[in-house]
Amino acid sequence: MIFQESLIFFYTGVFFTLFVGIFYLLTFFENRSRFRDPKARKIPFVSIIVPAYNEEKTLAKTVNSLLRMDYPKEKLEIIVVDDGSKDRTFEIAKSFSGRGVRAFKKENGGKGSAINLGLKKVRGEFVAVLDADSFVGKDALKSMVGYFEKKRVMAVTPTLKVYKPRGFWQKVQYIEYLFSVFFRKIFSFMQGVYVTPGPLSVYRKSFFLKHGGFDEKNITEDLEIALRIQSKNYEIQNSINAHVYTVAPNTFRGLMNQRVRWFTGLTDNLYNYRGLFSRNYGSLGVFVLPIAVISILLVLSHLAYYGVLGAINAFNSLYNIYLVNFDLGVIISEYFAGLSLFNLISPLLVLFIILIASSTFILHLAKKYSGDKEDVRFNFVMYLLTYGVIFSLWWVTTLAHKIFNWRVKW
Amino acid sequence: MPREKVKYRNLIIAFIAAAAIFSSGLFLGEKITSFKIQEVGQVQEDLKNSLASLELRYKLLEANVCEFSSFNEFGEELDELGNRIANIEAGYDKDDSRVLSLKEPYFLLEIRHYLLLKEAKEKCGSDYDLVLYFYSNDEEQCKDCDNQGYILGYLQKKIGYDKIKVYSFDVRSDSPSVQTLRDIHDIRQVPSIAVNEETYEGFLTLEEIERILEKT
Repeated sequence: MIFQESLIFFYTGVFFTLFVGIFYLLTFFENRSRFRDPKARKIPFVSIIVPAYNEEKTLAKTVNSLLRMDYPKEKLEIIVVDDGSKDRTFEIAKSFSGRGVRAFKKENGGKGSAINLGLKKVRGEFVAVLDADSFVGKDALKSMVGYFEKKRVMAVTPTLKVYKPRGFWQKVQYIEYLFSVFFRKIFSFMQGVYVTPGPLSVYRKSFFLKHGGFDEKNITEDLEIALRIQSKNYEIQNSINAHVYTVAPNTFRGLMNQRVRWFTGLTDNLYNYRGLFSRNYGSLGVFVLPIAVISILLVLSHLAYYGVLGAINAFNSLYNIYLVNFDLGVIISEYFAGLSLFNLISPLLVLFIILIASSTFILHLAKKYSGDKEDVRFNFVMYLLTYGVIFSLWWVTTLAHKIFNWRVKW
Repeated sequence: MPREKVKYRNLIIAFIAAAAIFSSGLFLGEKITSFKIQEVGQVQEDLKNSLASLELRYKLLEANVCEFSSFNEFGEELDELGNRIANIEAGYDKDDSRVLSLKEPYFLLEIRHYLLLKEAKEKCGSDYDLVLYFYSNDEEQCKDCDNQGYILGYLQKKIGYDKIKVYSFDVRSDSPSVQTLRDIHDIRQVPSIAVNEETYEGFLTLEEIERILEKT
């Protein structure tokens, strides 16, 4: 049983969530007029780099999606960099050479090094990077390039979606990505975007010439480059209409590896760029980054605290059942007799309903503004029931990797 | 400074709005609890009347009470009421005066019901079992009470209201009647149970209680 004193902790979490949610919603509605992407007066030449490592399954589809984009062919250059794959990635890349796709092969050295090789070959003023397991929507690039009319903009991010979600893990991620759509757009209004995701972010090449290419040793090079752009006080924008679909991990293990990598990258890079936590970096330094860190800490501490309480309760319940010799017939009928509307309605329930209503509202906004047509009701219920636990599990595993110095897998 | 100004105004508005929503949520929760307490008070009042009527019927029938008496009358309702009070107690502060004001009359109802059944049992020589259970909600005072209560609740359900009735009393109650009941049965520690007037101190397992019930 959770006692009154223990609820104070929960109330803190609820209040913080409400506070942050309302703050971001305010920012959202204040900037509603800025949802339309600016039109480019002159269509710029864009080079697209596709770093690929053992991607024979999806590479052809990825390149095809690029070739099908609504963007003038003469303004587009596609470069596939095979990062020492052991499968047929390079052959597939070469098979597109008749259609203007250039393919390069190098020793395996990580995604950052593959992109950097591509950077040496590009001709365009703008460089897009697209992971080889992702597919772009027709209008993606067209929606994004207009932002570069403003000279301070060094990168533009798209709206990321999970490609054809199937099975539990992809469905939960589908909801997670939808929430990110909402937050990424809001962060862009506050000049607070701190990651330029691998699936199609577009960069101004001059930034790399001036401040160096991708960090080849970094395990989340897309986070590092974004933080670097922020640290030089440049802007990162977001186009909510530029849709990119990525193949999300569909197993517990695959997803765990990905998240351990992301979270390790997040902690390492935030530590390296800790100078960003400062008023000099505006909303990014004062709200966005601190709120992100506090949220993670709150989720983890809540789960630890209520996890322990729950475990004690579960143990005691089990012990009670043992005391009556596991006579399940009586126990179950008694349990259902105790379930009544009267017993369920409580102050705690009211706060839970407020939280769920707010997150449903945010999800609705994200769906509406990113033109999402998928029926996500069932996925959302699954998300609500499991995400907190899954999220904490990823973090606990990440921390374990840190503490025991385990190698982080790609 | 090339960056846009930080909008502290939004932060303040968000804080005030969050505080408003949060406190109205708490207020609503508080209202719900008050409503529940009121509801339980009403049920308690109804049960009190029913019990008074039952007492009168016993008195009127005096000689023929054994033909009339069905032992299980209101026993289940009494337990239902007890469960509701326990539910309110769990989501609320145990020492809150409103919770206590629910528990005291409940104990009195239990005692009246118990006395009635005890009298009928003696007159009719029935083998109906009456169990008094003394507990404390204070976990430091009684670690085993949760488990003992669970076992007794289980027994009540398993054996049924037509054969047994368990009455629970919080020893921390200030009610003189509960104190008297404690003194009569010589209760010095919790948990303790009195089965058909015989006192057993300390935690008892399911098997031990079943053996006691068989014996009597």
